[in-house]
Amino acid sequence: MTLIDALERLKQPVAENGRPRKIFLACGFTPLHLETFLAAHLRNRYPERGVEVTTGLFGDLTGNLERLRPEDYDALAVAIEWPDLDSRLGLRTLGGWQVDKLPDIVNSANYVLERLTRALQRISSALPVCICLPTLPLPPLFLTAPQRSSVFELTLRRNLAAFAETLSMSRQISVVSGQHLDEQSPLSRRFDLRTEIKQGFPYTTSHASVMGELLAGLIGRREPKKGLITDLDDTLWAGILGEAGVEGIHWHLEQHAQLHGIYQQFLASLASAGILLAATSKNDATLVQQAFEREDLLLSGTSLFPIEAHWAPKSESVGRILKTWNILAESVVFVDDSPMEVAEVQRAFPDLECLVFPKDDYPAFLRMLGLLRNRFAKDEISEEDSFRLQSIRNSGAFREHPQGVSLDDFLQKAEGRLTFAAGKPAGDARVLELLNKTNQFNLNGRRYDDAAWSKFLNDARAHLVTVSYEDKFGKLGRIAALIARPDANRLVVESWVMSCRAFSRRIEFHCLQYLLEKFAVDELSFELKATGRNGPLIEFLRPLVDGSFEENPGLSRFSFLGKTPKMPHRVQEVSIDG
Amino acid sequence: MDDRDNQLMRCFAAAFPAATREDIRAAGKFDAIPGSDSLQLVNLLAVLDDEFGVQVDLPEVLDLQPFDGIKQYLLQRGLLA
Repeated sequence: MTLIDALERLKQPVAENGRPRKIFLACGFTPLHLETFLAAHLRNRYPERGVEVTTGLFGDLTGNLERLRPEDYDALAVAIEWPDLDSRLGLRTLGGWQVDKLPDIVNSANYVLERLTRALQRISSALPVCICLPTLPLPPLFLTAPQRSSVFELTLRRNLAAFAETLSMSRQISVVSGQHLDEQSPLSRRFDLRTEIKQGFPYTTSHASVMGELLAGLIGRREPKKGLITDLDDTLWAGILGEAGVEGIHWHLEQHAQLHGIYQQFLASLASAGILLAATSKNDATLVQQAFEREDLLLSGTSLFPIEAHWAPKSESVGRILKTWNILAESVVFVDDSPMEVAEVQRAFPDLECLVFPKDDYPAFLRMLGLLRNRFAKDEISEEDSFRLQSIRNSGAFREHPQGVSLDDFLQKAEGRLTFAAGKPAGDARVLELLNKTNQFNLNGRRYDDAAWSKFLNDARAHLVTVSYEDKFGKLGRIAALIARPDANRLVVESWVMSCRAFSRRIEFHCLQYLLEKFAVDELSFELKATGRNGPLIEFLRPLVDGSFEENPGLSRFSFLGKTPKMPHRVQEVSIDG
Repeated sequence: MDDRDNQLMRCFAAAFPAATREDIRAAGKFDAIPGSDSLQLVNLLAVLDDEFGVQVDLPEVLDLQPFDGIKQYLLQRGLLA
């Protein structure tokens, strides 16, 4: 984004008149174009909401942070530069670079880092924070030759790394990746001495744009994709299985097939983080099964489900995989070495992100891995991530319960156990994942970014209930979350989401019963909103509610009891302290 | 208005969001552009640097007629093709 693009973006009207997102940009220099780029990139991420960026006093980064009131903002972005640690590390002040001053510069920088740590830890208890460590070159104050690191420089950098490490242990604090920044904005193109001296703004506009984009990206993180569908021949391995046979396919360095080995290793990493993997291949199913029995594979065949191996068009396979996973195409990436197959699948699923596997193009291969890591990026791994694929395999038993057996009988024999947990667990990624990624059984599509979640956690009137499920087929883990607020003799349900893996088990009835009992109210009121995707929730709720279904429908205890089928599961309750 | 004028006007319109094209053309001084302030002038100079590769210092342009003055400034340096 160029500066003119950013200024034009900020001139465009906001689509809705909602409360703007309030961001505090903390930096010691004149924020100038960094403020413009940050606001413009945030507008791109939140087109429906305005953005208000507030800045502090010039030359007082630490003081700005120490004075900041977290309750006034939705997020904090911090751009630290060397002069913020000691003004002698910049070029706008003339404090002296004599040899005897160097230890004092390092010491005073360390003192400032300690103050910054305390201030940022205080703020991060109530506000999401993203931090960028110094991005500009150190001035030539050390006596060593430019190609040699001075011990003072190394000490400064060590202290800075320790500062970042300490802060990054907090879930609410994100530190910009230095390596990623280096890739986006080469060091030699970042600093503008002319504007630094004349305006107090040290960045070139191109560097300010990258900084704005990275900080905005950490404030407004996009939801990760959920699954990846891969081709096999010349993608997961080198060679054509039908021609070369099981022993003729490769993925090792010695057979010049290392890229395929790296790809397998990468997919195994995704699988370990709970990302769904499946395969589609125009191949003989028996041969594919034999190939996955090879013990030197870096990706176990059990990590892939389903595996579609036959000769039908790949779009049909992809359709079946999406149905099995019960997720939308937009949440999935498809990878195949054949541009023709990619085009065929893309035509059938325009929302699916389709990538050609670059088997002979090394730089493109590395770019693809970077892109995939970005698409599937996770900050934390939850317990549910470890058994997501297994629970999808198990859910097949529910979809295909034996003919002639009533659902009542089937559910009874499944020996389901529901655990309701009331309370607000601090730093629970799974609950946020459920609220932010569930589309189909979702009361209103309401999403919670870090700031909204912090506010909710600090709101004593709002309650959170999470629901876990397991039966004789296996664990599903936490599959539902409800946010509700008592209002006299009724309970207003503000959010209600349930994983699609838990459909068709009457868990939703148990949820309503739990709310009525737990909060001892006579009526539930639902902040319902049709999102275009939440058909399953609407279909469930419509026959239950009393009166109009259009605006905040209600359900009385009396109505609920009259319309509820047999409750099949054993229920227990636990409480959670934040 | 020709392509050169449009290119330059885009810079002015981005930097001075409260002003219309007519306001910008008619202004005899920068401070006569509606809603203008020093920050917007700094934005204009940075945009000119980005778009035309010219580094203009504030005192150089303060007394120019905003639109036509900057246009002549760029033309004289062969920067407005």
